[in-house]
Amino acid sequence: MEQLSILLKNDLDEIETLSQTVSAFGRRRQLPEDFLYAVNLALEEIVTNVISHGYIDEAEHHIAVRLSVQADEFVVEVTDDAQPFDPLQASPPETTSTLQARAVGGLGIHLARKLMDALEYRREQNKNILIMKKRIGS
Amino acid sequence: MEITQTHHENVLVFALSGRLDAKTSETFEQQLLAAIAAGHNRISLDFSKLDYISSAGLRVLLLAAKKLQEGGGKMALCSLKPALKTVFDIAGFSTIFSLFASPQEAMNELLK
Repeated sequence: MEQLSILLKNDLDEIETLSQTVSAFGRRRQLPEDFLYAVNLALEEIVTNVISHGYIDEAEHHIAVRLSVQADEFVVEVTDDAQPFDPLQASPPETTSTLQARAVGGLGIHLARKLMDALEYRREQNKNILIMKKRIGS
Repeated sequence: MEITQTHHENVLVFALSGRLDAKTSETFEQQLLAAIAAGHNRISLDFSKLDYISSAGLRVLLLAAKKLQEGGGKMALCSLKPALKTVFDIAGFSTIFSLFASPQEAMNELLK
């Protein structure tokens, strides 16, 4: 199994570097650009939520991201020490109403769920662990 | 992320290049909302060099479109790359935004 571990600070400046790292990892495995766009987007949405809403103090925290290719799946695991939050319990946003009626926000998790094939969440030793999987070739 | 603003008649055109993510969308939000607050009500967004958009970027577009609609203004988007169009489709944004294949078509709509 090939894998790569990345440690991020809780700072939105980390997002672009994270994206470059994910893309480089994926390109070495000949994964197509639209596949990597989907993985990058899902990962940005999850990490941004943790950074922007997960912490109640002003301290520096670390978020661990692990990328791996297992058989025919690209697997992304995000581990953080933020407040407990299960993205799978978030209610889906309304995506069919008029512009006027459309609520601002709530799209990030929806995009992550639609772009990846599977999401799993668990809380373990005071940490949130989110695993996202996308089938290669799907 | 680069943002350039140009004027064509009474239309303000924003050309974006690079990434509209959780970090860079802050700058775009400031510029776009400032333009609307300053009275621009015909706005074209040229996405031909935009490689990436996330929900943070979509949020800015929705905020701006709502403000424009309240004031009777119009916004048109053009030249979305296929990966961005997919994101628009999943978010349900393709039905509430006017999307055009080229800057000229967006301009024609705004000058109507």
